[in-house]
Amino acid sequence: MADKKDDTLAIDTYKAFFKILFFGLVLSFLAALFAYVKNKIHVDFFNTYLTYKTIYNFSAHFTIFVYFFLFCFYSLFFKKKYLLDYKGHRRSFYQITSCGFNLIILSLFFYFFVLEVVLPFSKEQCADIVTKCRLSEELLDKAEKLYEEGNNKSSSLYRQIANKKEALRIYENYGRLVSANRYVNERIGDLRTDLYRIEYLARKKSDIPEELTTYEELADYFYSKEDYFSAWFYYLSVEKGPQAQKQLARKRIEDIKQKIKYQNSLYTDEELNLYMDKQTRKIQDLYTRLQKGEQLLNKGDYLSAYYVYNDIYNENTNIRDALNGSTKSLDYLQKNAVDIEEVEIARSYAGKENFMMFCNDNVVMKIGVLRKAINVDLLVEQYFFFDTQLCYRDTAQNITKIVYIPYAKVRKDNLLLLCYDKNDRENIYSPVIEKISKSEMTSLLKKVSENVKADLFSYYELKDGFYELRSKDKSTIRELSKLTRKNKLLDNDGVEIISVEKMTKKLQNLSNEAKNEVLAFYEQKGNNYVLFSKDLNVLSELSKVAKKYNLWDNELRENLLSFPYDMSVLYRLAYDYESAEDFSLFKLLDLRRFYDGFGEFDTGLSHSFIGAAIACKLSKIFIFFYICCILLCMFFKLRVTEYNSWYLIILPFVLIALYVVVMLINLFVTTFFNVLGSVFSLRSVFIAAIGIHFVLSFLIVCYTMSTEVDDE
Amino acid sequence: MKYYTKITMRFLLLQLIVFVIMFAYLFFVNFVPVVSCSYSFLDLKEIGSVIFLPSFCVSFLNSSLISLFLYGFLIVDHEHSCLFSVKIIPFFISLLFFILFFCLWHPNIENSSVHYKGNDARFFVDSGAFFQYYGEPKNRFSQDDFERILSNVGKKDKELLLKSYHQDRVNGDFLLNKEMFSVDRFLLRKCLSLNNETENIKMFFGRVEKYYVYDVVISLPDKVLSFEKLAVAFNSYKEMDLLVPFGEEIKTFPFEKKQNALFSNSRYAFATALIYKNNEMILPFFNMYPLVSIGLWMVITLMILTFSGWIYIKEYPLISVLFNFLLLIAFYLCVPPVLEWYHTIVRNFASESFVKLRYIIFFFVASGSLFVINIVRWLSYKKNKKI
Repeated sequence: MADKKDDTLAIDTYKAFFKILFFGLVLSFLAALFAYVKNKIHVDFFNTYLTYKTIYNFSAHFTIFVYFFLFCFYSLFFKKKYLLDYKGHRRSFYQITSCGFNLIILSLFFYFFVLEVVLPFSKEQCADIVTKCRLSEELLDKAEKLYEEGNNKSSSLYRQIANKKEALRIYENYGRLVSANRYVNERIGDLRTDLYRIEYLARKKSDIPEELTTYEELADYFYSKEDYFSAWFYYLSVEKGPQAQKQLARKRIEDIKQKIKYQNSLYTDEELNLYMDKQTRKIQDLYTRLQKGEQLLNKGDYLSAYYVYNDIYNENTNIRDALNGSTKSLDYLQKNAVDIEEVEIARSYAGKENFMMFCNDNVVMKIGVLRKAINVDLLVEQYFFFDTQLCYRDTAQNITKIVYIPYAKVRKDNLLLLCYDKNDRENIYSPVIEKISKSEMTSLLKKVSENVKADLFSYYELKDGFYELRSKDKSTIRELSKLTRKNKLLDNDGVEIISVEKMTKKLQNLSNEAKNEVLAFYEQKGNNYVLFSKDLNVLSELSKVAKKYNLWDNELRENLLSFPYDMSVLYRLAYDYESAEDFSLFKLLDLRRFYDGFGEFDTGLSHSFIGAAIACKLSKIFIFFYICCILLCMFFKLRVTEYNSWYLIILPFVLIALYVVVMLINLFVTTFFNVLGSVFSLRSVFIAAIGIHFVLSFLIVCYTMSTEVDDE
Repeated sequence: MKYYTKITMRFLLLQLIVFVIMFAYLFFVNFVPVVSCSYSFLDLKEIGSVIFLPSFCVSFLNSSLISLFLYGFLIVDHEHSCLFSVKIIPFFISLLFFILFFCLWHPNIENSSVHYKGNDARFFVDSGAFFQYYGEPKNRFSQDDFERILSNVGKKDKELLLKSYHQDRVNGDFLLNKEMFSVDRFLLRKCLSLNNETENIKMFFGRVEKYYVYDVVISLPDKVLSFEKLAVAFNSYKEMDLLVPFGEEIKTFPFEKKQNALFSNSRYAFATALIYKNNEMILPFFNMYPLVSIGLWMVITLMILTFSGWIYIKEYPLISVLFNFLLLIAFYLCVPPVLEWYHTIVRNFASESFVKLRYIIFFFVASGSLFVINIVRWLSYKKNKKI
């Protein structure tokens, strides 16, 4: 019995706490419901949006609800019986409020969790939903237009097919974003059947059994299938290869020739000879082209190799080497370059315009549009850069060179700069020089031959001591990027191939260990060191080592730029304090860590407010604790002596007053740490924050301890 | 008598505490960035006129008002709260302070802003970070354009736009108002810039000094510029102009003060409005003749004392505190616009003789009514006591 009496205070405290939190949740839900804009949010997202918005509202105002609980329990609804324990003795202040303090500590942990995880996540989700909805509307509009154009009988068939294909792609994208309605599904069905009918005839299928592996088996297979042309090719490979059955192969080739002659017996002898010659040449040509593809593949020129193999495969689908080669090179390209199809898909996603940052002390990067796309197959976020410019500056901060990168994609701490088209070998984009100073141009021209010089000058015009690109239209960029790649105008020598002499010169100041570390990436071929692999992982490892020992100042290579930033952080970071505040502490510290890798300047992304944001985030937790303690004491001292039901009228006023107090305090803390952060280093701000909070905590605890239960 | 000495001392102590907190905060916020930029800047005279004086004015006057407010329910106990004599003491103390403040050291505060004064690039821009430059708002919008922008922006921005532009009666175009508050100008630029109505420009300053900025990168929509050193100038709008050479001509990029950027933080819009009102509350005292200022001060302090004592009920201390707090907020929010309305109404509708005497009439009407309220309260208190 005695225990029961003793527990009423504790139970009542916990009950009141959860009641108030539930009330807060309901209030947040109502706020979310009234803020819901019917036309802005797609019906599909109604529930998700409402959930996230409620969570966001609740977590953003969590502190106010806790203060409100303190007010309600210790001031408004405080019962006189709480002052006495079960024996009838008076309780001391800490006995009465111990449960309240427990709850404060618990909510402190919860608040930290809210600030770190819940708040940023729910805000991001809400913003994502709004973006998705806007995007889906735009996509539907675009698709409708294209569908109508595709059905326009007056335009050419080619145009119609292209429009229909595009419309289908956009409808499908729409379907991925929001669950497609019946109308859109019908459209997709229509378009698919239409396109399938048109393309059915053009589609070829190769169906070579999987278990056949060697050339002889393949040759025998096609021989038995009476596909003499493919069989001929495979027997030729057997004959030229190291296999033992050369005799049989030669014999079979003769047989095939006989059979072809027999098949074409209507020809005259002369015609037949011509035809046979042509076939022989064709087979030989095929063989040499395959050889060339292999060479290119071994050399590491995957792009050229891909087109060679792809051509062969398109001519004859039965050549398995071609298929293998093209798959292998395409595999490499997919990992190390950007597919133009991906770029086109990414275009339909929302993005941020005009993004600026420092790559290192003297290189400024300007990203025209930075888009975040979602790869539907892998379900990962991918970041695409459009119209990127790299501005190189000299020591006097004058721009010496601007490199223009039409399309780029982020992958594994690197920026892939080469953009290829699977179906069109002319449609390739890579970085080009947009603007270059006269002196840089002369040093560049020393590298190239006379013909190339003339070609180069046709693209540029001289303006105020700079060579500038005449026009930036797509065809010019394509041609110029071809020229740039061919002559390696932008390549930094020494990354992929370097002469032994140069390498020793570069490494002369380094220790033996460092030398070994660098040389581990190379193998010696004649007078040159050659990179043993062009794999992305190897290259990023190498760039790390190069940075460590300061080997190459210029990070740009033919199709790669090292870009060691967390994109999810970078993408959301704007240029002011307001957005940094929503970051989790962990991410802010992470972002801060990036900067250490660079010299005097950091990435230029407003380091001052990042320091302030970190200090603010920390302070918020402390301040929450202080205010709780002070309010608890204050509310207890000012508690209502006799409860009246008309007191309920003041509840909204209390909420408003608490809201204003919280806002004012937040504003003062923000200003204070913004000032500190813009002046001192992060470490000093940290120390200042910890010092201030240490002193304040001490004072607050003293104040709390000195509170007594007054006589009534 | 002992009681009166006690409350007087307490009042003085309260005012001192409020003043010290406010002044320390303002001085810190304004002083640290300046000193940190360059140690050579430590010119005591300049710091005095640029930072110390405005911070002192704002914190002194505000602390007087706030401590008067707190006095009404924090220091005076319930039994004495209706006494006229209790209120007269702080009233005269604050009046004395105010008169001394004016006579000994008449601060010539201009009406734009009480904070940062003086021309120094460090008050305007930060270094070491890329930032979004909010370009100049267009001087003229065609009616269609303006309506399109209005349909795209939120409620607050809509109000701001309508406040900042007026319609030309001849051709229906919208023209930019010439006289605007600097905060409004900043918000307008931000609003237009976020709606892609101005050029998207980003800037970076490596180092900022008084009249120069170093290691500048400017990213314009079509090109990127980089300079080792650029000069700045200060224009009549109290703005800083960055002078950027474009070939032979020089283009200017105006900047607002940093302080305005803080006020534009939408998250704390209400709190910032309150702080901004802090300044607005002080401004009327500087815009008039000293005698009028003193009269206005008397009216306002009397008003505060009357109302703060009014809402004091012994049985319900909590509610008293709460409503006093809300009253304080309401007071700060309402007094400046009410004064403004009074001036506009008088100027537009009253006769010329009334306009001349508007301060005196205001003074007598307001103080008279407050006086009557206090007398009545006192009398009723006396009557109750007798019973």
